[in-house]
Amino acid sequence: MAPNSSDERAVDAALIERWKAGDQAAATAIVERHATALARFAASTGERERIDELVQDTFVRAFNSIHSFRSDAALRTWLFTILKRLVLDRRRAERRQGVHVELEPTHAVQSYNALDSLVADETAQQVRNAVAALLPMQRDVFMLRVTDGMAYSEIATVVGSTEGACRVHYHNAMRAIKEWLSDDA
Amino acid sequence: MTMRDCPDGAIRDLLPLYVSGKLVATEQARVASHVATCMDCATEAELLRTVARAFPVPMLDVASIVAKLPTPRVVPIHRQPLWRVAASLALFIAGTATVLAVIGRQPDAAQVGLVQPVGTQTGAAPETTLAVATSTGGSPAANGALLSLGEELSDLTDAQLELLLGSLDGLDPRPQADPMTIATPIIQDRTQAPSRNNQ
Repeated sequence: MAPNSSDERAVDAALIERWKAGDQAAATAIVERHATALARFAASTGERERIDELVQDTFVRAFNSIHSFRSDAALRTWLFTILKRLVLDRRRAERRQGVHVELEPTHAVQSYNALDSLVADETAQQVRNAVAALLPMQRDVFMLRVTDGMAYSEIATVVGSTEGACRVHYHNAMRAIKEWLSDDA
Repeated sequence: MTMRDCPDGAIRDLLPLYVSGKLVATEQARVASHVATCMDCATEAELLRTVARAFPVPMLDVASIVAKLPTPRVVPIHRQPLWRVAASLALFIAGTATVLAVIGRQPDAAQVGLVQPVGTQTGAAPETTLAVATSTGGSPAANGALLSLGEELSDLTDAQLELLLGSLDGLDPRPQADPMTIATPIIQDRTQAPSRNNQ
């Protein structure tokens, strides 16, 4: 489905080998290739602070265990999986400290007020609210599919589900967003 | 704002990849032609574009991220422990010595053709002789018949000498087989050798 997935894997695999051989520039290339997508996904999960720290921790953890990475797997999927775990770890820690409030549909409108200055477009704001109103699993699947063009099989790996379930989550999310926007109009 | 779903679920499934340009060219063209004629899919595709734009990506300092990454554990050859170099050298020397020893124990090709006379071959039956295919050619039977008489040339009669010389003339000097490929000696009945030689 994705035309360049094997090429992308080959490029990542070559960069990893270069880094293992001591080429630090390869690490820069890897970060440049994936950091933006990771940050966008982190933002879409409701993380609004220290996203750069999440992305950085993702890469640090990945490079520390790069020897366990299988070359036939997709580096991007692996990075997203690590990021997803870090987000969950952070939320657990914040919940224990009473800091973080899990995004709920009723909090959706307020949740992105801080981003209003970044995106003024009213439709975009409505869409953000609609996405925030999704169930966490629906939201993760939907955003990975829409913003990163991931295959359902890759998404399933990231979110720890099955390909078929991810397909259902995506279409349910799309239906919910349409309903949200219809009600909001 | 009311949005409906296109009945073509397969196309709808591909719309996110179409919007992000992740489809192969043929699929991209197929979806594009559908979207051009389907208002529902065109609306949904535009919604997907809006979603993709709606989430601003925070500025990332790539250099800062890279600076925190671990450095690869590459050990230069000149910094490898001395014992590793010594072990490699010892292994090489041992291997070379083994190869040379094996080569030195290979039987000389010229000696392969030697046939011991009857009686000197340990355990050989009195009426048989050992004939090994030689690198000088000739059938083993012929060679066995001629070279295993077990007597000095001076003891041979004229008839035996003529037989010997005639048989030597009939020997094919070209090798019939690679001597290294013949692993077992050929036991030949001495009493049958002359009759075969006469064929």
